[in-house]
Amino acid sequence: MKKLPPQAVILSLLTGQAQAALNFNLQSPVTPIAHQIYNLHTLILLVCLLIFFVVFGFMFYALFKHRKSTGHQASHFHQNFRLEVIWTLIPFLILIGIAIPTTKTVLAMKNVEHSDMNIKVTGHQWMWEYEYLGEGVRYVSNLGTPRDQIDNKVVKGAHYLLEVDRPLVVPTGKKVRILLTSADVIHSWWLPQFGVKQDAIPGFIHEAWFQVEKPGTYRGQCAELCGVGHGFMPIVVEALPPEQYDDWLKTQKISLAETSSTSSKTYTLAELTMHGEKVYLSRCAACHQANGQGIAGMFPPLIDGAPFSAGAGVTTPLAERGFWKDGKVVLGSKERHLDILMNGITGTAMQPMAAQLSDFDIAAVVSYERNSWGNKTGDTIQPAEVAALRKGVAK
Amino acid sequence: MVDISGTTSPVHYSVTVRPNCSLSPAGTLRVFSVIALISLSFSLVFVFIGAWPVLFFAGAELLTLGYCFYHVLLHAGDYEQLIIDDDKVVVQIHELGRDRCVKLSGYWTRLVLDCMPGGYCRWLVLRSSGCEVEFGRHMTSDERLKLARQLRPILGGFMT
Amino acid sequence: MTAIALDSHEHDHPSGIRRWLTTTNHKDIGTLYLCFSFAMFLFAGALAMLVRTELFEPGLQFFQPNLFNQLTTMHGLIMIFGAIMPAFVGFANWQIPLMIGAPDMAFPRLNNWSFWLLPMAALLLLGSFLVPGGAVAGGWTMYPPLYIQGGIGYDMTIFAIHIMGLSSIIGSINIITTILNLRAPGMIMMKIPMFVWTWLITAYLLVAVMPVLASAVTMLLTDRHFGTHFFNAAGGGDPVMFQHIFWFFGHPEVYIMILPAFGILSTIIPTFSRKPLFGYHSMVYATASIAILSFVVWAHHMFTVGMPAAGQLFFMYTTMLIAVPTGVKVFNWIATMWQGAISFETPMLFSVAVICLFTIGGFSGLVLAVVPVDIQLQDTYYVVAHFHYVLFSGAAMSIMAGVYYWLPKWTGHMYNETLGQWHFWLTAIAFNITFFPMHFTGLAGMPRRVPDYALQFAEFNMISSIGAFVLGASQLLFLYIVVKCIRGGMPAGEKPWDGADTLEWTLPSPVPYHTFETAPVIR
Repeated sequence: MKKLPPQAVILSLLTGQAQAALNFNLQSPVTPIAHQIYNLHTLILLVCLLIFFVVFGFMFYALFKHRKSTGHQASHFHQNFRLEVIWTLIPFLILIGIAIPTTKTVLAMKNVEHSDMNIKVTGHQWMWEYEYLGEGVRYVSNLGTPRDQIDNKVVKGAHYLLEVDRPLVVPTGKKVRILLTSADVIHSWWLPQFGVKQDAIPGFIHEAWFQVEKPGTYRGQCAELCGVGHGFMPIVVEALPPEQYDDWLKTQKISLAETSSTSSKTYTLAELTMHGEKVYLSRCAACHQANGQGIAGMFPPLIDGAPFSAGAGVTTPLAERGFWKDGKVVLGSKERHLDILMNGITGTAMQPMAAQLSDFDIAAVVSYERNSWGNKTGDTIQPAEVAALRKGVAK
Repeated sequence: MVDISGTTSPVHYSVTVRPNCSLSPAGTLRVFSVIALISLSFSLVFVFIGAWPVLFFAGAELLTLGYCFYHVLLHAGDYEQLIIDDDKVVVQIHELGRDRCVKLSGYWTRLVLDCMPGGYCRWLVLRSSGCEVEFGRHMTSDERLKLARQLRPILGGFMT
Repeated sequence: MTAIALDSHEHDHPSGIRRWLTTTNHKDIGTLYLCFSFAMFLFAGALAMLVRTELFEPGLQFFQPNLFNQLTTMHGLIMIFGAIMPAFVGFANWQIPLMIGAPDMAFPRLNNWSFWLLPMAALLLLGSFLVPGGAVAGGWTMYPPLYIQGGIGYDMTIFAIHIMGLSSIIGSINIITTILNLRAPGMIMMKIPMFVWTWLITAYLLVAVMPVLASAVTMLLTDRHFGTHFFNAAGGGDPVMFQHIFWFFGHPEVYIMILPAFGILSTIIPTFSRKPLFGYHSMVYATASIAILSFVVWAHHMFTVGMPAAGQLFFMYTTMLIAVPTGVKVFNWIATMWQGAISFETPMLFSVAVICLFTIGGFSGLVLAVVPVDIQLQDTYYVVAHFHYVLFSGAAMSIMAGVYYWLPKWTGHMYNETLGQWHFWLTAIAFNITFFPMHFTGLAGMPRRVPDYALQFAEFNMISSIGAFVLGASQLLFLYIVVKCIRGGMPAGEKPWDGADTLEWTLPSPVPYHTFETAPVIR
């Protein structure tokens, strides 16, 4: 191996360090719109800097030269009509100069026509759901960072909080239109390098588009406060060359067909709780907490006998389902438990999870909840039961 | 600020205090109509998009504002007059078009200026054998002080 | 007739708490407002310290996300409604009657109520930390449907906002009638001091938008408990309608918090430049145009909700237009200093810093006005940096400037100039250390209102946190300086600032007891 000269090593270390550590500007753009945004920002920044130095040049000149301590005598002028007109007009002209290129970009951003493919993006508390319209591919993308990294128990990875279990995959060079909505509260789908930020609003569908120039993995986050998990629902987009993307889409369709036939296997309680813990930590722990204690007044504990008080809007539906009595949480029947998980509780933060989790996930997480933190029902729920319930719903 | 007009002579002293209403009734009407017009017009837009409570709150507020303006106008003609004539002290208070007249015996009348710690003079009171009348509600603290200084050689006085 | 000195116990002065509860004197009420707002400023500042503690390093160290969101939300709500707005009302109460030569406010008893409503609202707001579910955690903007999910603390906040809104409305009606009706003879509108003008316009803005806020939170309340569907899409409502209503209030609210600051600057800068204010008329027109424009820019807070291009462009153009009158103001202040005889006492130091830093906030505002860039930067730390540059270095530092400027008038004592300058330099430097790096974290892609962040933002966040701790600590120095000045110090005399020319400096102040004993002067 060739030895590098020490200066080069130091230089590369320094620049590498500087790049990794301090980022002073917008992230490097990878779509035509993002390029325009980047250039617009640079333009306005330069205009602002110029005005700043000119205007404050005058001010600091006055502050230094027209001081009382240097014996400067105050003059008494307090009006100059021509000057006042000039400094009203000049900013006006500068603003027109900025408005023209901006208007062009705005119109380009809004032009969602002639798209090559459509993806429906649904925000949930706190994950993103992607649906490739017309392809039958649909999945949920969760935070991939382990809880232990967040709690500082292990060293944080390079993409801490910006990694997901299943990224959104798109082809490069194609105009991708996304249709955004939300299942619960307002979220915002933001990918800085694409120049896309669009609020996902429940009950409404809004559009945005991007066309990625080069393959790579791009990272963003939810940008609208959506509750306790707001900081923990990143967006990762993997842009693949079109051929690779087509291959990926094919494998997705095949695995989709496979998973629908796996619910016949029977699992032991240990297997179920092991998988259930993973599902619980990624999907349930944001509200009900990793220790099952919930959050006082908002999210109920999942532990039999744990005290819990909250508004009637939360406790009444729980009591109706047999999960709450006299200020305490009761562990109700497993049928009801499955019902709450799969269908949610309307009007509360508890959402229906049936569409987002597989039969195995649901069976595992309910088994885990009924046999953890002091709950000892010994219930094992098999994926087949969940599949049967699903069919029942379908009827 | 008040409009203090008076004459002074050893035997006759009179002072009239009236608030300076710097806004005429016509001006009040203009100001209020502009405010009401703007508030009501955007409230109606809100009603149109389904947020009718805006109209309710804006209406309630305009009523309050209107009443306050009306109240100020009602009291625009108020004034107070103090006449010291030889041995008679007369305080005439004109409020809402009605006159109230208090006659005090000059010899026994004392002046009481009530100041808070910190110097704010809140009342100027004329007191005579159990009868007490406040004078100068429309005056600033400093004007009360000034008037009290003027009156002290004429009437007896003390301050609290 | 002879002067007889009787003893003075017949008129008892209410003392202690009763004095303050029953006072109708505008000066007392002004003092109450200022003390209340200072207390709230320190409390909300403490919340900000907790926020910066959690954000010192990536990872969750001290607060779980739910509590963290409560801290950020309450910091915003209390700073806006508890600290900045009451502080300006305090200035208004103290200064407006003095500046226009009025005996008191037009409705002294209403004035008393409008203050005493505030502590009640504060109790509700602070008490919500203790109820099950905790305080509001959905951001000070209270967007539904997130806001619909909360516990009882959310209802308490709604009531607190109602009460504070009522207080603001009563206060502003009082200010409007006072300014319009109680001016001294000869003081025509185009002669009233700039501070009074800015407050007249502010009070009008309050009257115009407070009913809108009241109805927005009322609709939240009925959506939460009475089955209405104003903001629920499933019931035929629209969550975005709340944002329109809220920001129709919210944007004028921004100017409610900055126009009186402009008034304070326009008073202080001529004093220490020993030169009259440049372009009084254009200042008045600029203030009025800012107020008018503030009604047609609200949707620039919502460029990402998916409005049509025409809407985005309209609100972008109007927003950019605001730069024109704001620029006029800055140019006028600089022209006021030009060819003056400038000296740098603490109030002037703060004012010069405000002009500089507020302008930086104005520039970032211009960057944010540009729709495509705003879409990139909306809800990032860039926005946090922007509004702290206008609200802390614009509003809060103007309040500090005003406090140093008028303290001698209010208390009769000079504050300690050395300590004042220390306070200034600590505040100005720590402020920039705290908030300037936030521009970079925002540009690099850090969203706001997150309790935890990715590793590439770590360095700037640590710098911000260190700056914030120094900034917080230096406000304790401010508290010390103010308390020390109230309790004693060098006598200030009638007019401690030789360049001051507004009416309040011509009055003897504060009037000492014994002046009555001096020989009376008869006209």
